[in-house]
Amino acid sequence: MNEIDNSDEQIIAALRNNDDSVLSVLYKLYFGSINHFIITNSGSEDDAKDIFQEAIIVFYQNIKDQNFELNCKIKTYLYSVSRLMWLKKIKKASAIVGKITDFEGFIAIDDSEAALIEEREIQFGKMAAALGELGEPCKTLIEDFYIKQLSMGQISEKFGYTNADNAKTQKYKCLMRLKKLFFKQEERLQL
Amino acid sequence: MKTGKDWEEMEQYLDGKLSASEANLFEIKLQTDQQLLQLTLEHKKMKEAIAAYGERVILKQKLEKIHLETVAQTPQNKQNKVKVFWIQHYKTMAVAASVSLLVAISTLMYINYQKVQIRQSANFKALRKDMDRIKRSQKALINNFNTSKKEEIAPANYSGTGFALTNDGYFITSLHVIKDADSVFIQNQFAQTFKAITVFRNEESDIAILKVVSPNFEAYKALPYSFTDKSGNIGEHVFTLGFPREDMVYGEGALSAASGFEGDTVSYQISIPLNPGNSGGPLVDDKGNIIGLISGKQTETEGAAFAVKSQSIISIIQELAKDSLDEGFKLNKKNNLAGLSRVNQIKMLKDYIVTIKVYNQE
Repeated sequence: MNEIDNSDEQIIAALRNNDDSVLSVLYKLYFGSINHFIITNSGSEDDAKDIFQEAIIVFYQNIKDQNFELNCKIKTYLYSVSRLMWLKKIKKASAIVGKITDFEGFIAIDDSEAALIEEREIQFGKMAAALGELGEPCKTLIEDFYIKQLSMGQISEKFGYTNADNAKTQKYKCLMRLKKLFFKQEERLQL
Repeated sequence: MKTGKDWEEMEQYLDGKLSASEANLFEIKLQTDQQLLQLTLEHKKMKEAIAAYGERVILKQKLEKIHLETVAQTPQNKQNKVKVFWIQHYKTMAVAASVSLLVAISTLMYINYQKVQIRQSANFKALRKDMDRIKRSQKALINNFNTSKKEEIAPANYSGTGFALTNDGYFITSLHVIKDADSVFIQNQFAQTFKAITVFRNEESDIAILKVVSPNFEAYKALPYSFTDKSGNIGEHVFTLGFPREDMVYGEGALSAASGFEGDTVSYQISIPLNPGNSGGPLVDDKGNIIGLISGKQTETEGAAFAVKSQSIISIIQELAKDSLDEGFKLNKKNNLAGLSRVNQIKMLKDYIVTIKVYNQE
């Protein structure tokens, strides 16, 4: 991919093609403006980093969804999502939100999209909590299988199980426990 | 519960690893088996959640790495930090600076105000007696007040109470009683008046030590009381004798707190009804120990009066003996009042308690 001409189309195409190197292109192009926005509106550089990365994740996940249509520039989209998230964060921290100083045009993120973003965050939080409660070695076993997509053979070797079947039984037990914990998280959230 | 085989089949189905005909069969099973359907849906949700979780974790790791490479370490960014700090905080800093300036100024003003006002403030009333005022208010009560005393001595501007510190002519009183004095006289039970000079004053504890200079003063034999170096106990019965009027007045109550006005630790709070003129009087416990020196009362609170602790007095006198007075004081250690009835205690005490008369040119 051409480093000089980073048109929005090319970036999107690359992401859909699993070419993650464009992530650093996005970072170089747009982090500065988000950073400036957050810092001007009483955030820190760490806040800016978190918010910008969240925005990139939202953007990334949307792009992977073939049905998603971006109807503004990437720059505007990232700015709009960051802005929305930052507002949410400062509203959570304090009842009084001062005037927000903007540097760029932004689009309104519609409610259904905001809800989707939030739902993804909630699901992530639930899974992270459930895995945390699950403990070792189950956590690593599950992550190896479902995220790193190691084979049962590789897993049994890594964990020192005598054979793949044994590993499978372990995985099954772990998964059962994880399921319980995960749905327990769900109940907790509904309270 | 579903068997391992069902489970495996379900996983393979969800992973799309079943052949078309096997998948078909599984879907037919799903339509009839509610439990399996439920399990499958749950499992699907779980798998998606795990996948989304994993994707996000990996993505986040990548972004952190990119952040480190592109943003965190560039020197220009470090320079920016100061600028950024200003952009972000200049308003707050301006406000903070003006607030602290304001606070500093008002604190200084307050402290100054307090220095001047603390003893005479609305809350704390030093109990020296303004003779003119009392005279007016008591005219109706005491007939011939002026005429009967006039021939002896001109009325003092202020008066308070004091008591003997030693047998040889040293007396203690409250500093605020004699503060503005041009001259100070002490007057005993027999209406004998002696000139005294102030030999020591301590603002902090509000005490002053007077020495009688009149040659006609006869030393006491020995003091019947002593200052205690122990802390008084809350709830203890205490009393005082003083001169809010020409005659000695007895007042009793209890020690109500171990600290004085606004948490002042050199004083006690006591519940004795006091009036102007009581300042400088002794605070005595049941056994006849001097446990304090009456200093004032709180005007807005009923029954809250204050006395400087005997311990503070003792330590001040000990310090004093070390560095200023040539001869030093020997404080009486013996207490002859213990075990006596209150009436007898007072009989023995009253000779040692004096009126402090203060004259100044107003």
